[in-house]
Amino acid sequence: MWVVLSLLGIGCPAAVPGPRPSIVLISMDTLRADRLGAWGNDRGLTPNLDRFAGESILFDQAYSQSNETLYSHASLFTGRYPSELSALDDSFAIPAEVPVLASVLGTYGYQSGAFVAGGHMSRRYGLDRGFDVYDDSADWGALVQTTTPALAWLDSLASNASFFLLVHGYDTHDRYLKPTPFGYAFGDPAGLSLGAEIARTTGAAMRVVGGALSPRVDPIMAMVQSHPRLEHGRRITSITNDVRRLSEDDVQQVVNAYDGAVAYADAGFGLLMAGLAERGVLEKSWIIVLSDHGEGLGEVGVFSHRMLLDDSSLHVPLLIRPPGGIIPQRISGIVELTDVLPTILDVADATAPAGIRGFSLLPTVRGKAKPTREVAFSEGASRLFTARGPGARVTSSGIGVSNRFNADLVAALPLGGVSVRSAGNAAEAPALRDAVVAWRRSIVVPEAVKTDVDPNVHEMQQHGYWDATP
Amino acid sequence: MMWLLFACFTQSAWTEDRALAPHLMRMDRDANGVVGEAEYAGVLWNGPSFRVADVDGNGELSTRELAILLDSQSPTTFDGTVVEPVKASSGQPPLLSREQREVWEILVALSDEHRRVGGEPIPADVFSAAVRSGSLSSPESALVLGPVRETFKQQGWDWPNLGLP
Repeated sequence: MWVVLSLLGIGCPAAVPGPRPSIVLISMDTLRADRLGAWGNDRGLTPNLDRFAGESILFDQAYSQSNETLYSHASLFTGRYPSELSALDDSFAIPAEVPVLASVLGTYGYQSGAFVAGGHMSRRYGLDRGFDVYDDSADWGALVQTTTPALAWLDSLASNASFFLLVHGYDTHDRYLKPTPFGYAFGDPAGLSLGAEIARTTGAAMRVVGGALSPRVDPIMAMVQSHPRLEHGRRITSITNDVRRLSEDDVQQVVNAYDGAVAYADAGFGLLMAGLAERGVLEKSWIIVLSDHGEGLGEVGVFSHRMLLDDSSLHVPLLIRPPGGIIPQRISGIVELTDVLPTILDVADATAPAGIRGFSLLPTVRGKAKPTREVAFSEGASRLFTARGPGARVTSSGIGVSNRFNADLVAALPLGGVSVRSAGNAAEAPALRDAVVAWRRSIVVPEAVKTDVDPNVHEMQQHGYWDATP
Repeated sequence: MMWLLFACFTQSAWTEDRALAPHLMRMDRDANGVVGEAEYAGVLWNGPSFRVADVDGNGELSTRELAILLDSQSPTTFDGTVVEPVKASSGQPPLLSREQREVWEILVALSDEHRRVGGEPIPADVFSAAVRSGSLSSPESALVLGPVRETFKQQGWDWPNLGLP
């Protein structure tokens, strides 16, 4: 019955004259989609998120555009791919000429506040542009730390103000072991295994490669070791120091700790929702919940997101709840987080700037259209690129296209400068390979970095091409 | 009407108590409906003792007390010490000249294409020497470009217009 009504557009939000609708964007850093009950997880980790999904449109196949917090949020805030903004290295910054979400909303009278947990969301990376308030003081904190100032900011606004609120937390980021009672909610505090060591130690998760823990291995170097284009470097480096094998129990210890972190995130989310409900925000605002990337949980021997461009690191939850909630629907088409910006601007009845790559999901939310993407593209540091189709993924390594020099180089190469690995339905792989090559060639490099050459110094060193004493 | 009914049903249900009750009840191992000291001890590792967490001292942890417990702990501390995430890279690497970087980019890209169609890998020392030369016209670079050019020829590919010798 609800499905029929929904298809007819009944029960869907309609444009209402008056103040533009307020919007709350909740970014739950490092949260894999498959840990939520709404995505089929049966461990009972996320009662609040699942309940929220029951009032929302759920996008079953949402993919982030990067496996790194900074690049992913920059893409989210601009509706563009990370390479279209900057070189993907420590110098990453959104070019001044690229419009950002908060700035655009500001021109339509929105007041905007961001309450983020520092780290790669710190204002030093320029993500604060356009926000009236950008509080990044809860460095590497969780939603419980950012919710309190966010709610206080809401209380400071005029009752009729249109606002855009961003709340972010690193609840499920490593170190996976979170405060009592969530740290060992799904594990054994007495465990002293390698898995427990990883769960307890910040950054140690990134040192696990190929089923082995090697405390001396630089994580990027470890990634390089498995990189198809790095045969050169492989010969002159070694990861044999102090390697110890992880057992299946070790892996489960880490997964247990991560799941505890997911429950911790859910509790924080529930408290945020309670605070919003208490202020009447849920009745009059759009709420969008997403994650910027996922996390590898040992599927390919890695506990990290930075080293992978697979579904574990890129398949993220995306839930959109119109004011007052909606008859829930599960949308199975592929969507990107680049689609969030045009969706928000559509909700705000604001004009989207030129150059964005996303498509508004509002027609889908209103039951008037389905997502039209066939492929989602993502990219990470260390020059990895991926295209995700309905049943397969191809991941390519190749040169970056984040400056004019490299873009020209990509255009000149007969194979497009990519090596491709595929997973899933093999029949889809050739088309995805063509898609990722075409996509890389379509990247428009920002003016600000056209004349620069990506230094790649770290990468060179870690390949073994260069050392500190030339 | 259906929409309004749905909205009325879903609103007003988001409360602190309802948000935290499922998480609190997960700790209720004996399923007696309350979380006591022994059950709290089963998940305690880095937080306050039960005596502190049980603010009202009634021997049971409530959702309000769980909210206080969450608010009082930071995820960035471990045994009372703030732990910063480890950076992937540390230290300031030496800068390369623009010429060296361009040589590296082009040689890596070309040798990758060469490898993708079965060409022999270029030895690392040969490759490094070419990059260090900072010139695509150097004898060192010729040792990389030679086999790559041969591969391109075999494949019937155009030699890229990148200022290559």
